[in-house]
Amino acid sequence: MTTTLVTVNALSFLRAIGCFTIVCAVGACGEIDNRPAEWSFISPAIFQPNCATSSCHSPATSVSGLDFSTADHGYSSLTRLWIGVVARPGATVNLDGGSCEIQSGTTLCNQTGRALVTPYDPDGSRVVNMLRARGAPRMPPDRPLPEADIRLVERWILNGACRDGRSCTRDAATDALADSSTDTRIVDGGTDQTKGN
Amino acid sequence: MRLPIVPILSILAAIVLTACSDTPVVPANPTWADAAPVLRGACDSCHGWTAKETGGGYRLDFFDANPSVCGDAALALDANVLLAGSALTASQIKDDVVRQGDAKWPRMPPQPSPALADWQRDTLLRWAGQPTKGPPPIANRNPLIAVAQLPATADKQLSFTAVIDDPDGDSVIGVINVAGFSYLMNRPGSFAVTFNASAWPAGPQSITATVCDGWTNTTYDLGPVQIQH
Repeated sequence: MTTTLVTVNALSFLRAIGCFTIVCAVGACGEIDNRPAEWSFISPAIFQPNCATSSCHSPATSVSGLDFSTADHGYSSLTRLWIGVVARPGATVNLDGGSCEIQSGTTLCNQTGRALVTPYDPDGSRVVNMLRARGAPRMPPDRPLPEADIRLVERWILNGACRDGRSCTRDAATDALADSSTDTRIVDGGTDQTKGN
Repeated sequence: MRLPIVPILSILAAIVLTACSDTPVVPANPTWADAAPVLRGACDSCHGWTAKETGGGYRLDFFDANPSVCGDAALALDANVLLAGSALTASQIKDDVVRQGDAKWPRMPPQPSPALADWQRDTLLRWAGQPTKGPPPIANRNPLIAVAQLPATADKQLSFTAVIDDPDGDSVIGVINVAGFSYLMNRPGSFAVTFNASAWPAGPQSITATVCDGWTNTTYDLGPVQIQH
């Protein structure tokens, strides 16, 4: 009888522990992140404290041209960074008032366009690949960001990586590209659909 | 008996160094499954779906995307971009990831991006020398679509949100078909899908989607929508 009681109590205890574990696990995994997926929140809450440190992406050092010290600088760094492409050997370049310059004997031609975020596409965004060390060096290099922070950045990009409703990274040309990608043959007065075969 | 201390220590050191090294080995004959992750990490932010504006028209997130691989979803890819599997693209990659002439840096990735790691550069160089697709990675998973705010009924307009994605991180394209019309999705991520349903006949219409990760395509039944006029 005693053995039975002990067994029942042990089973009850195990069940209780199991339930507690499941509840905790569900609670932990199912926790909803109510923080806004907006750059005005993400910049001061995530990028400035973790990235804009003095030896990294501060105004003074700006490693790889990236400055995350303010929301404006950070947004420009992620979306509108100037890049310098090495001129092809023998190519004719305009050094007088043009966009090319010689650095250490190498001719670099400036272009805009190295976007580290790809609007609507977190997996295709280099900044996410770096935060997750997915085919790119991990950033921050000392320790990864908390998973919830990375997910918040991903949500921001999935929503279009907008500058808080004021302006998005997509300029007119990119908008046109997106539109053309969804309307190969426009019918019915310009709606985005194509007639199938 | 005297133990050969030096050789034993050398072997142990080699084992420890090998175990600690996290530099991937460059395959002797890389295929697309080896090259794609390197391009994804270092190149696709410019040479992905925005390649026409930011990547000179070279789109490197797909080797190819013809109907035999992608089914209907192949329609979503712009015909005017050069994909990674074309001979022209491979030859460009081969030239651009190494220094040319007297240049101090390779053309790609551009300044101020950090240069490719040696193993990344060598993987791309070997692959671009003989750009083969090869088999998909072991246990490659199917691309996915998630739909939100899909209404049960629609009158003049059918609108909902679709997100296409791949659990392995591959790039994705897709198409949503309903009532003989197609909505094309030329990239992974979210889309505000809108169809003009004003001319559709009243009654139930089934909505399907085909998504492709460059290795295979999967068709999903998104459910019926009741057209009411």
